[in-house]
Amino acid sequence: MTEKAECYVILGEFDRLGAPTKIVMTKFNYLSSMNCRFAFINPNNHNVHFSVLVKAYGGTSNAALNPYGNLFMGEYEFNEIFMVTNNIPSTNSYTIDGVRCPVSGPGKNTTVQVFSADTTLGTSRSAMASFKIYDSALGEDNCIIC
Amino acid sequence: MSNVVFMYKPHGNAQWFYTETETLPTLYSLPSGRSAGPFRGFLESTAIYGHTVKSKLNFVRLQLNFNRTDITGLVFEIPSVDKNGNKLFANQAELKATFMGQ
Repeated sequence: MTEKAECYVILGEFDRLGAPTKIVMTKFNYLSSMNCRFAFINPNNHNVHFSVLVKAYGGTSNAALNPYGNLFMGEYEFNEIFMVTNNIPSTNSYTIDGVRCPVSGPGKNTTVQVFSADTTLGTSRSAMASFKIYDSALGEDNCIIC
Repeated sequence: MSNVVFMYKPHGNAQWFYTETETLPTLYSLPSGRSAGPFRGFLESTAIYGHTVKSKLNFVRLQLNFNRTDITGLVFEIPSVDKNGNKLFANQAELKATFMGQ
């Protein structure tokens, strides 16, 4: 993508007859492929599968009626991307593209505690730090979680 | 074909439901500069995710590959029930926290 995409969320309904949650993305440029990333809190229920259906649109957009375009151009189903588990992770982080990310945390500007092991001063020191998690190859404007 | 009526029975539900569409939109429009198919839009795509632990911050990255360059909008639909009929969320507040809790 060469421009910042704009997204908005239409919340679905949680029950068995409910509508799916929709995330609409517009105003992006691409050639033949694109990466779409979004962050979320995993559902509380476990032993359930998380899936995403992607629908592509083009043509003429209308801000009030169909902001993503009036022509349907195909869909792709990411069926059962993963199953939510009740496991306690053996580590507190995971890695994407060489960037280590924490499993827990409130999200934006995740706060972590950094402990210093500097023993040359005869004491241990602690400090607090805030940081954003982002893809170093894409830059901060394309944060994984920001 | 304009209107389609179909009946369905959700998983684990004894009751039948039916719905009726309005006029269907044009499917698979002709890409710019093309006079023949296929017009499928998506080629093979892949997904990766961070972890599987419930109630924890996570991400999904979708690598989308297209065979056309005139797509202007994408709609990502995340169902609240999986194909086994299991609900992902216990209530509406949990659903909201999943996508808007950051």
